[in-house]
Amino acid sequence: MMIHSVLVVNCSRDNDLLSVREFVWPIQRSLPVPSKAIPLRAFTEKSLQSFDAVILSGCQLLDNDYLKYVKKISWLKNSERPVLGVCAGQQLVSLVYGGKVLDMKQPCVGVHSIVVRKNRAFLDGSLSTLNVYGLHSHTITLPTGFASAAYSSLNPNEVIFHATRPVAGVSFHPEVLNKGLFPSFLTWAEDRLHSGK
Amino acid sequence: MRLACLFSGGKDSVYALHLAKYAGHEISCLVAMRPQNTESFLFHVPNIDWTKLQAESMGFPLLIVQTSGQKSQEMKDLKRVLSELKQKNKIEGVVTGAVFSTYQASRIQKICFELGLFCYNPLWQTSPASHWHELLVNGFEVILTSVAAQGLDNEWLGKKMDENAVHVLRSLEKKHGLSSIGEGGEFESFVVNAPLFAKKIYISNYHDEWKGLQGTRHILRAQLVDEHLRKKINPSQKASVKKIRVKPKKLVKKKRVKAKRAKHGRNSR
Repeated sequence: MMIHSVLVVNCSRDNDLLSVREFVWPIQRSLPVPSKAIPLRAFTEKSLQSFDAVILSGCQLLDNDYLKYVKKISWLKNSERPVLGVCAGQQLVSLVYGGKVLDMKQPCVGVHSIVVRKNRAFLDGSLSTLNVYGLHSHTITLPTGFASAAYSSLNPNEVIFHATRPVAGVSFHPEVLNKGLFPSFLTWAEDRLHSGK
Repeated sequence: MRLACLFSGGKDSVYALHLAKYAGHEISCLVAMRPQNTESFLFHVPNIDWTKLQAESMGFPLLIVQTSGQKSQEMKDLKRVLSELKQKNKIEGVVTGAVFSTYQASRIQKICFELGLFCYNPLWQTSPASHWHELLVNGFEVILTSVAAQGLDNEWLGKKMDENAVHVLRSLEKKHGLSSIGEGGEFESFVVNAPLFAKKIYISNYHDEWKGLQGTRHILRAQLVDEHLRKKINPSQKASVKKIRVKPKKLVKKKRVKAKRAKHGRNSR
């Protein structure tokens, strides 16, 4: 199956012009295929029907409102659509699959380096480290069925991916640094859909 | 949400403010940092004092804060001011004009997080072409008040940006690798008119200063003028600008009537 369209879900508390411009448009501009954006509160199984994949966006550092929606989007666990969670989106992916969200002692803000593991999923095959832009005050535990593709001194789960499904999450913001991760994710997800694992 | 806007008077902060207002946020005040060090890492330097005219034209309170311009001190000063604004003005967040600078954005994000303030960056990661397009389509009148890059000569200093100028900047971007939105300090800008402005800024006197490739236009005299009156001003006759400051006759007449009524002990209503 080819991915022809992506639904970008705005995980910000307020789906206003400012949050859309800051957290959603940069993702949409990084995608090689058409996309549409909707707020998290409107994200339902039905809303995903006309799209081939979904990306859950990040949000403001102080905004924890998205954590209220975990039950509402628990259906995502049974969806066959590829899912990429970005920052807050990664936390939602973790929670939906049974992981936990933990507070960090200090927030992760700015550029830092991550180390890519051997099983790198959709991360660039030529790099052992990557500079990424972080903006979060929580980390996650690895949910059952997931593996970590990259770590840092701050976080063992900078990039996670499901063992068999086209589902992944990144703790940082590829729309700021590493925009190429979005097309890489889509290609990786397509391969998984083709191979059935 | 009640927001303070980190304000430099340049295109980015004025547009960020515009978007915040357009999105329905309440703007409590504008905060302009005035670094003593002209090589400030974080803040815009030229003509910062003239932000008072922009603030007046938009009807927002302006706070100009003196800072040393030294890396660590700049952040401390900004944090102190935002902390005071949170207590006194009850601001809940800050809006900035950060576009690509992770250095600038992350420092302000950290301060805001420590103070419990939201930090909005509505121009974040906007492409240079889209950024200029949005500004021009929305009627922003932007001039360059400093230039510091190969290809930006004295013709660019004070230049009012239009589609042609943006096109040339974009080609210089390809040729010399400069940022066409000035992200690397290639230029600084100043907004003389924008949708939120009740009156336009007319610059009647300035001084250009060059240090090697770096040119700065220091605004010496400027004032707010009504758009329709502005068109009548002959740029070669600076004296005629003063006439704009005279209050409209009808207003003066009404005030005289009020004073006369008051003198005679009558209700001035």
